[in-house]
Amino acid sequence: MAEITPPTTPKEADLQPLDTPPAVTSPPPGLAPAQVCVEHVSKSYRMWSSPAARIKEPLLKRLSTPAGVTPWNGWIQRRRQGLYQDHLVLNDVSFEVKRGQAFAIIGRNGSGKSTLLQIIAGTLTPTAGKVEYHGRLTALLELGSGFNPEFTGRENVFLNAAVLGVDPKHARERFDDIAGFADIGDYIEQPVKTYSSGMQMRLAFAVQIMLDPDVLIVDEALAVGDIFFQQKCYAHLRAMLDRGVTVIFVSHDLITVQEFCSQALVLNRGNPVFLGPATEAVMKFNQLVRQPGRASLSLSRPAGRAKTTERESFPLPEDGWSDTSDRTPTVTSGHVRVERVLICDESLQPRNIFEQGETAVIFIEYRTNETLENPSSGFTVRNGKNLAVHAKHACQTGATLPSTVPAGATVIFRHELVVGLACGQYTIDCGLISIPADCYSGDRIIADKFDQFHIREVQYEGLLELLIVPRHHYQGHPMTHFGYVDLPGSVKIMLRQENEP
Amino acid sequence: MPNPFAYINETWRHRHIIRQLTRRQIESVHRGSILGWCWWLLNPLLMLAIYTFVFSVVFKLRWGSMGQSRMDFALRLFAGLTLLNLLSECIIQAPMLIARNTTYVKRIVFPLHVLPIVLLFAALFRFAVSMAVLMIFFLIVHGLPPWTLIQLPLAIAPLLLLTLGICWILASLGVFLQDLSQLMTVIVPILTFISPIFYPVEAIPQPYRLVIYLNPLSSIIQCTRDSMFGGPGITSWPWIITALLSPLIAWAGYSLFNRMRSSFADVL
Repeated sequence: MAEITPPTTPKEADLQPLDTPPAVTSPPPGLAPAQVCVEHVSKSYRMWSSPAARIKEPLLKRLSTPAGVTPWNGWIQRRRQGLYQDHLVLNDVSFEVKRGQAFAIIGRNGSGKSTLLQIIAGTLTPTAGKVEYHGRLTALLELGSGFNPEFTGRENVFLNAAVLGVDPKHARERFDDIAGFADIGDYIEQPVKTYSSGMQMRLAFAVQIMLDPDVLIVDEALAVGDIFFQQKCYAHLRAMLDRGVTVIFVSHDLITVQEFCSQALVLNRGNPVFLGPATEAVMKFNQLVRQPGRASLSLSRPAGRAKTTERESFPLPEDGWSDTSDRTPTVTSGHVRVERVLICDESLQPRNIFEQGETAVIFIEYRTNETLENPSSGFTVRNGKNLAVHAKHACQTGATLPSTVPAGATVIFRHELVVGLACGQYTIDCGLISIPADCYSGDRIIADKFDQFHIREVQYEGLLELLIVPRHHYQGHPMTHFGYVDLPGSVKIMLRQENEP
Repeated sequence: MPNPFAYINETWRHRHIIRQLTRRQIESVHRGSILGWCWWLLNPLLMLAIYTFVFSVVFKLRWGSMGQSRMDFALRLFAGLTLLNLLSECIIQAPMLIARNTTYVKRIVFPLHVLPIVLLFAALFRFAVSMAVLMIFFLIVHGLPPWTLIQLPLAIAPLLLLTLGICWILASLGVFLQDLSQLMTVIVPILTFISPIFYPVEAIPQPYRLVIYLNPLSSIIQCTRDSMFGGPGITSWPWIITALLSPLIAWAGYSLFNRMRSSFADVL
């Protein structure tokens, strides 16, 4: 762990945006200098054992001397112990963002994204490292940022302008633009506490973009607005990028990140994992999500330990498997569990980003504790709104199920799926049912009995993640279809010319 | 260590914010009440009237040995009390000041050190109204005031710096020590009695007189009264010492506040 200076070290002098002249600094023409420069930024939080410890520690630290110099040094060091604990939330993050560039920071919840944004914005002081930027920086951190709930919208606009170092005269000139963009009508004269979260966000966003920033920081806030406002915001953001404004933003919407940003940083538990083109960053992020905690797997399984009566044989990918033995099923009979899963393409290359209409292959490996009759594996693809877009069982595909699987056996199902889906993020639930012998004959289900007698053996939520991106060069059209799914279908055209009288 | 007068520069630099916040704070006090703005005037008027009635009519108290008019006691009492109110209004609010404005700490880069300045200016407005009421009464009772009145602004100036310094200290420590806020509610009544408000400094026997001057309010209150009723005023030693010390306290408060500011966001 890196040497950490105490968080109380005042470093915010470097971060005060108001120390920079409020006028827009124009860089020398022809150059694209780094507008924002983050150098070796670390942040650790000190968890104090009690409120008083906060005051006590610096005092004791003042009094402490190198060991052996004063007789009371040992006593002081003992008193200092246990007063606090350091938690590292950001570890040595460095990057640069150039003028007119859109930069994304992605990572799972709690990976330190928002902390990093707050440090760049200057509301948090880094424990080590520094942030430099040129010009005026405005930030939209969480909801309704910087609004005093008791003040009216108008008062807040002028106050925010004053805080950003905008001349009151200039702020008055821009007020109509701001009110117009926020489009919240007479609410502008009401206290902000009466606003809905959407209205707060609209006004906050309007203020931040209309006060001519050179650097704009957006933290996930746009997700609150309705689709029309979001579109308006993105259109405006693009125009700002063209004008040379630098935009740094955090989003969980990976599609937007890919479309909107050129560069991205992937954070994992405070550690920078990847810095580079946004598309690659999104892939890296997805790999990260697939392998939570424990890196690859503990695959020291003795091969052919139980006599696996392999009904069918197919090649298995070597790595990229996610160990799921620590996952808790949502439904379980205790008879079987999912050992590991994997999603890859037809050439068995593990990946979970697919273009629309590509074929994904999903391997699910089950391990039985009891004898199972006619086990059938299935999966459900859910979209961002948790809607089951597609769910299908092996027994619905015409595949021949193994009639009995003994206890202690391993069964691997290979599901193939053409991902004719809308672009976006999906999760995949996996599960296994067993079908009593009298409901299943050979290769088909005796339909009237199936619903009654199939047994849901095990079911897991969100074992896999899937990201669908637009298909490149699909017959000149960026998308294969509109709507949730691409249903198989074809078109025939007949041109019929009526004879003119 | 910042420049000793950095706080003056900072105040000027953020004047737009200070002006907006102060105006807002003053407006919000009586917003929604039926009499609205009248309360600003009504409050000191009623207080002065009640003091006059109780101390000059009921108790018939005379100010020390040199009492002249009956009204004098109430006027002198009110002058002292107005000064104390300025300080106490600020120190009661200061410890919670940062915690009440979390938005400014966490969401935007806000020049937090202006918050105590706003607190002082808002209190100063109330103070100015009270002083105006006092002056009107003074004119009614005594006619034209003595020429020494011109030293009044100077007499009060150290109090402003002193209050500001204390507010910065309380505001920065209050983030970490919730107890400060309770402590202040105890200290204010104590201050009322250990400051020469109900009595002149001369009423205190000699060995204790030095002790009472340790309270910087004493010399400021005395100097204010001197400028209204005659006396050594700004040439008195206790006041000169206070006047010299008060910029130091303001500077110390400002430095401490700036030192602590970086850790506010971590605690709130």
